[in-house]
Amino acid sequence: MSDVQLVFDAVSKWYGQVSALTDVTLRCGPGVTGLVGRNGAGKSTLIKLAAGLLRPSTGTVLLGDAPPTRRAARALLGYCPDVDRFYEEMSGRAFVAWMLRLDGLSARAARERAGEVLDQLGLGAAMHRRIAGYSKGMRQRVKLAQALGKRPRVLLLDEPLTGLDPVARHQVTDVVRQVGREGACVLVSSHVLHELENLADAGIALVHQGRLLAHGGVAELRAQLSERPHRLRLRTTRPRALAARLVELDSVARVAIGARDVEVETRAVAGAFADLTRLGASGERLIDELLPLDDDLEAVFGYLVS
Amino acid sequence: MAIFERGYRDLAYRPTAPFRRIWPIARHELAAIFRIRFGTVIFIVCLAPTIGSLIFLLASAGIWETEPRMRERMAGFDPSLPSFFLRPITSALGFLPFLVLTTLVSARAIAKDRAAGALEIYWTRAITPLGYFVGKVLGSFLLLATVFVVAPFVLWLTSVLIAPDWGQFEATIGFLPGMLLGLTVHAAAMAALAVGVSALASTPNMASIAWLFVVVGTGFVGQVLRRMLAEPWVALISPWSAAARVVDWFAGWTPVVSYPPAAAGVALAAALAAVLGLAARRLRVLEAVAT
Amino acid sequence: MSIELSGVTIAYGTQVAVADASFVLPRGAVGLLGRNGAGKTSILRALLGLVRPAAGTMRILDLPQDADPREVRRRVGYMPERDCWIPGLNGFETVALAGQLSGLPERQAFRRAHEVLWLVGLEEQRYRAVAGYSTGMRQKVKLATALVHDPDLLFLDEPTNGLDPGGRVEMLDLIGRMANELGKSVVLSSHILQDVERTCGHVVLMERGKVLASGAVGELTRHARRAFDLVVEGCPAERLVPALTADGVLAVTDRGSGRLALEVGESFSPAVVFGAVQACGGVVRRLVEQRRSLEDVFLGAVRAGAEVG
Repeated sequence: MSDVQLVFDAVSKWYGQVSALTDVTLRCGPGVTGLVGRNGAGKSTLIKLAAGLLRPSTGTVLLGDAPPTRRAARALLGYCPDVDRFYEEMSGRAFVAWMLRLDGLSARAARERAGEVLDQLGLGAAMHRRIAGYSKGMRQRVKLAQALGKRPRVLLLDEPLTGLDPVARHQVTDVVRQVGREGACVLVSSHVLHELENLADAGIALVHQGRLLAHGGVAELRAQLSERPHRLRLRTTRPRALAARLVELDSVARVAIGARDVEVETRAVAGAFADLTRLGASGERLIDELLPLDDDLEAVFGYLVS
Repeated sequence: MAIFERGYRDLAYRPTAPFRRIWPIARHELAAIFRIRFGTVIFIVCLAPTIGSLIFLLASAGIWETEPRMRERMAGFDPSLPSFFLRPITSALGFLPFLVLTTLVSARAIAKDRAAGALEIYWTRAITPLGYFVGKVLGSFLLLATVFVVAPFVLWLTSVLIAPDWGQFEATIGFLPGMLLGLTVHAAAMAALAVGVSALASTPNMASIAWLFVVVGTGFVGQVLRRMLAEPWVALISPWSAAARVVDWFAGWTPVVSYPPAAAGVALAAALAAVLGLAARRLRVLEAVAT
Repeated sequence: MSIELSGVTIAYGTQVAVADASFVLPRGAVGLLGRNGAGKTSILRALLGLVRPAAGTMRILDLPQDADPREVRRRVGYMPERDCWIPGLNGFETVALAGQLSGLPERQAFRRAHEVLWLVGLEEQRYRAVAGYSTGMRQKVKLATALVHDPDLLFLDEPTNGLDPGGRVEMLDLIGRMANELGKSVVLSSHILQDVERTCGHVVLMERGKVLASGAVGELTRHARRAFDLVVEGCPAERLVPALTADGVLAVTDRGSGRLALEVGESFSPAVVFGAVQACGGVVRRLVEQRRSLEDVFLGAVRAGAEVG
């Protein structure tokens, strides 16, 4: 099956005078792309445009070669929204099967597929019980199952891991990564950045105040921000003593004291490392660990958004 | 120059007594009617029957002395009889404001909190679910008491103050304390009943519907059964009818269509016991903290 | 010691939710981890006095064992996971009411509500109705109601739920401050293990009613044989490796481009590494102990617990 791409071409969306998205051009290929941004930045608008729930005010959105508002395109689309609304009286399996029938599967095929995907997500015997009695994590799995059930070529996931315990998070992350590896275009929106970094092998798209600020791999993005100050974390058993010594150094711009560590913001990176090596080698046993902080998504996000 | 820290400070205080802590709940519930849309208007409309009687009182001041025959013809409007003060409360005219107030406020009291998840906040503070329930009943009672106890008292006070002599006072002081006590019991019983019903429902709308059944539905069924079985006291399955009869008895007045007051008392107590018993079972402490 | 459980069993009718749980939680920030249905909520309910254990003893702070549950709840702050609020009130009124319900006299409750709302960052919106708040703001109100009566022990259930990345960082920093600067004991229950790793020094892991693991994060995440990840610049590995195999460093593996993996023994001190690199004329760019992630610890313990039964 050829890969389907999700394409935004100069898309803007506004409601009256309020602009939710401005001039967004984005192309998502196979693999998992992460979508990050503050609340109100335009992420949900972007996802709803991709799902065909909204029409762009200008520009075009394409799933493959047709806009998602066409039924043909929507057949390729799996959408797991943020909201939590079910028919509470149905069992988990019945609900997913019902959703799959709406997508065109026969009754029997829908039932089988529903059972299969719920098993894969770890719901087990509970799938035959009423949704009204489900915990938050179980409800989340039902939502994911209805999105994954039809083997979509484009998968939109809005906060897919909320309410899931660590074991379930692991399971779901594996399933989503697998879907991405099989060539589907997966767009995942999440606030938990370190998990997203793990999950999104095809890069991150950062939305801020309605605009697309950045798109690419985390390391790439970080490298482009090389002129920003560097932050380091020093683990120590004596934070105050260490901080006192650090303040004396020229290369150190700011110091923040924690319970078991000290966070350092440097002006001159090279000089800072040299100074810290010297400090660590001194007989006072002040530094137990040295860790650069800026290489993760949280830091990149912080810089781009501030 | 001194710079003052505006941060977190440790707190030293003498904790209030456990009973004192539920007063804010009662106060919050008392003000609930004014927070809903047109709530103030509705509240004033509920006072309309009493206001009507007040206007009548003021308009007819002095008529009773000059036209003694009117006393016989308009017995219900004679301010020296208990029926004058009870009419805006326990008659059919008083039923409507009562229904509106309780359905909008008291019968939704706990159901509203349950729907917003507030029980988890209330029951994890330093009070018990029983304290919470008592606070809600107290608040509803105070609200109902303004319409059903304070308003009639004000009416009575007016009637005494505008009378040309102490005749009105002498005529009415005999039954007044009893009447006020009866009205208080009535307001308290109805408040407890309504809040009890609100504790049973999961949403405010279901609670209002359940309450309508408890008050209007039973009244209707009671009347039908009364005609069918030709036994007047069957109508007492309606707590409203039972409570009205209890008030009348406290005021020392026997209406035309009446039931034995003891039976009314028992019926009312039974309704309360049933609803409060069910409420106690429904208000499981475990629903406070979610799974 | 903030909480001590000894042989606690909690059952609802015939269903046993917690079986013979014993642990001691030190002061500071502690993580309470476990899957849904592991028994965390039951422990929480028992500690709040909402449910009585069928067996065992519990001690909270310095309170006697048979303390009035209301008194326990007065000394403890709870931040619920669910999205909940008291209808009809604004932020300030909610927090003030919560304070009064926990025993604060009215004036103190008002003053305190303002203070706490400032602390959590809601001072601008405190007069708006809570029903109209965003998720992040509601989380902050919940935290404020947990803090208003100055409890010595706080239970925070999924405090970063629904918060955007900036909000999450704020909340975690606030929790860290409460545990470290304000001297409160904080029990944090969260499924996001990186958050727990970041803020808590001690964790308790439960599964199906039993305590699977309890200990300091540093120790639980330590490998059996300690290992460090080292990145150097300006000093070729050939010169560095011999200098490093000094006391404490057992083995060095060269990963290329300045990365080295060190296996160390009991007597290791990081100063040795710094000294060796400095003597060699280079700088240390990274020296981090390789730890198991808390996620690995969790998954491993759950799997082991499942096998044992």
